Amino acid sequence: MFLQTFASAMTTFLLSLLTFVSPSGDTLTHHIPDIIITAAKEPVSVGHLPSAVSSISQVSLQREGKYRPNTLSQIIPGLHIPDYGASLTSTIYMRGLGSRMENPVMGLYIDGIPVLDKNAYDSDWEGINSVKVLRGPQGTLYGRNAMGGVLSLSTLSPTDDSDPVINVEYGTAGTVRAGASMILGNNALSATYRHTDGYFRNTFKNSSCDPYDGLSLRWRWERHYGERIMMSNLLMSCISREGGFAYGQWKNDTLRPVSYNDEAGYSRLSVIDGYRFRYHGYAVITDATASVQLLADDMLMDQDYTEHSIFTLQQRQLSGAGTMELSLRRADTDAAWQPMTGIFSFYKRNSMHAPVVFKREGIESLMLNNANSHIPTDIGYLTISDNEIPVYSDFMIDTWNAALFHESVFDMERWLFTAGLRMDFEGGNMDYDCMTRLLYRFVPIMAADRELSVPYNGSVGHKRIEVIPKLSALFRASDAVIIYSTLSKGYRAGGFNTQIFSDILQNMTMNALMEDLGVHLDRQFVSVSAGNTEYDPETAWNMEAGTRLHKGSVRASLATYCINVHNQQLTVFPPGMSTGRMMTNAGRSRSYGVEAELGWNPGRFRSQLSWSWCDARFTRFNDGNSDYSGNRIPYVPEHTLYMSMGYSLAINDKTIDIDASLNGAGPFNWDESGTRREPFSIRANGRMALVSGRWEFYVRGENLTDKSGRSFYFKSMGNEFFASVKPRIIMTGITIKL
Amino acid sequence: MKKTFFLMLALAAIIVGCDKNEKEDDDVKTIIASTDYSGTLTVDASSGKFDNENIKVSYSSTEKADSASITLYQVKFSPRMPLTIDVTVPGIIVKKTEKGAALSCPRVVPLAMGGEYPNYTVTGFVGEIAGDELTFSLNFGSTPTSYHGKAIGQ
Repeated sequence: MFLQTFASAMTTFLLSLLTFVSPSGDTLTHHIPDIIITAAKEPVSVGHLPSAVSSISQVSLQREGKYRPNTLSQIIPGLHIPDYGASLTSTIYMRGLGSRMENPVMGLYIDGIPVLDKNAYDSDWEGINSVKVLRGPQGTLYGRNAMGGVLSLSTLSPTDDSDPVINVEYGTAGTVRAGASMILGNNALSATYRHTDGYFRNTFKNSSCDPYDGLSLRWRWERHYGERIMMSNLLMSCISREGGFAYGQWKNDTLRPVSYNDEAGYSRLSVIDGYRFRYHGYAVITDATASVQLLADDMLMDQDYTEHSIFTLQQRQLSGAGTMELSLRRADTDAAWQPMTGIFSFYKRNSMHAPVVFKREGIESLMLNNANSHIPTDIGYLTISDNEIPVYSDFMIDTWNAALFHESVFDMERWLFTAGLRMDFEGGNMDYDCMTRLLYRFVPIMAADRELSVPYNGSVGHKRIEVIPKLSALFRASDAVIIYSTLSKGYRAGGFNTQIFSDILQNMTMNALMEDLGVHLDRQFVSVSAGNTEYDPETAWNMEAGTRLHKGSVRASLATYCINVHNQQLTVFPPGMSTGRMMTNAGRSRSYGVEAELGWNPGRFRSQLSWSWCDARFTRFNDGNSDYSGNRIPYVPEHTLYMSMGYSLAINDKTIDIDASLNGAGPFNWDESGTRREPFSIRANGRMALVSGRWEFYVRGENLTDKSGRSFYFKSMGNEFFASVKPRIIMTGITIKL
Repeated sequence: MKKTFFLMLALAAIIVGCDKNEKEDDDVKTIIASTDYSGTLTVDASSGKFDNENIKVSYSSTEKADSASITLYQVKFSPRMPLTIDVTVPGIIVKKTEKGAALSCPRVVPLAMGGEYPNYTVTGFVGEIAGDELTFSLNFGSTPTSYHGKAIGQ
């Protein structure tokens, strides 16, 4: 309620500000080029980058209704960000890389500021000028977690020639989205608010499962002092509250509706302030960035996802981080040698409170039934009188990184050679303080309950060095065609598994209880220890060759790649009666594939084709029970496809825009064995808009045929669950340029 | 004077007597001080005899020098038991012998799994501590059981 009131107040405030800004006379146009020719870090322009690059302009984003990272799926060839769970999920798959948990395989940069926390990735965009995706490992310049690529957003700049814009849309599931952006002097402001009643119902509670309320604000200040000095500051904040985790149980080959009894939801406040400084010297351009990043979030989850009171999870985090980067590059951009050298560092501290509460049915099924099954009935049986057993887990996780990088580009007539090297020194430490307490009794021998407390605390840490080289060659075949080949390495940082501590405590408690009783099972309750909850970085070598063409209204690109992954990070279920999951370095994999883009925009006609094929398989993975070598990596689609066509029909002083698109992904393997599989499926989207002068009225739809499908699969306590694809969504809206 | 002399003699006799008693108690405590043993527990189960190897037994003297308790750790009373249990036999009577101590116990309910466990009521307990060895036999319920072990770390 507070959020809605606050959002309404902010929207009103922004609208009132906008009414005082005089219009400049420009009209809405759809003829802004789709390819953006600036790069955030690279010493050469995007056109000369020896890697696959996709760019989407602000107009295209608006036309397609793309205002969240997961809406870029398939538009970027090979990119798959399934829409499920909640805002913290942000699972990214690219070129066979990616996993459900922990560190992402794609770095997110907003105006050159790295967003460190994956939980802050998914926020609504407003006032975004362009989205650029560098595909494939970009570790040399971007470091950790850029092994699948980099998603770089450019926001509205005060130097842009842009009018204030207001956009309001309403549609399916009571969804309201209101956004505004404007420039005031040296300031660019944008705000967006989104509400939805939710697309899925929790049939047990007879209420919406995934409502959402969120407000995102951005303020960019930028000032140029003469021709040589530029300073800017970007302040971003996002506050949201939502339901989520719309998972239905798969039973008897039927997907049941979402039905769970305990509370589930996610609340988040993220604040990022990034400062940039550029000094354009006579010989050297100096770029410096620094940022402070805060994230406070709270997740509640009915972790059995059933109507039964088994167990719940809370994960409350408060994290703070600081980043710093300094880079130097040659000012003479016409010189044959373009070197770039930089240093980067960050420090992050995350305080996490993550209690798991075992409820009555969970105590019976997960603890007592398991324990009593080992005890002969003529001896007795175990009882626990608590209705709830909380397993308290508190963590303090520190992560730091210091890096030195260099990249040199040699321009030799029609050839461009790049050599780069980065050294990352990364460390992490986790202090854990866990405890559980219960009242138990062994019947009939014990006359009364006995209290048992099991503490578990300690510290684990690591320090690692990663060396990330890059070599590439680019050949300018003509003014329109370039051909490139790249060998590069990327890595995804290691870390700590916090979600497995409830399992550790659960098993420790049962073992301690038995020890307290003087009963020793032949087969102990098995679990991992805290030392096993660390996982190593995942590294990938990427060999890539591609070509790009730009001639007139045609833009095309083709890229082929082969990636070898070592220490593949996989989400696994530990041995024993586990309720948690953990990341582990389970094996090796390789993926190879092809990505293609084709855009043709003659006159008022526009079209786009994005397609990828990826064959990603384990080359070595044995989980102790089965050997999955040769099997496909789960969750990675073999194909992604996006096709769009549009035409702007001029009638007098008005224009009618008609756009239609198809997007699809699949087939997927949902598990390592490939027993659960999702076929390739395609969905239709469309948009029709009436554009007149300074306003635009539109209707757009997603999944127009209301095609069902599944976006996520997992197991919990032996039960199988799926998340469904969102149903048909129809939105109608208006955009006003003031 | 004579009276005083006899009084002092009596006092001296008492003191000497006390010293002797204390010395005897010390001897008993020394012989049967709390000790851990490791050895073999043989259970004559209905399915036949079987041995529990490397069974730890803790002999714990109580505050009274002439009694003790014995705890057997991780014992199976049937090879088919999916678990082992710790069992304590309380109220063992200790008597000094030339070799060490003789152990005996009347019918007693042992302690196991957090309380008294009458199913394994102990009868016929006899045993001895001789040097660094502990030997005893008893019936747990109707199951004849015997143990022979050596002191750990001696």
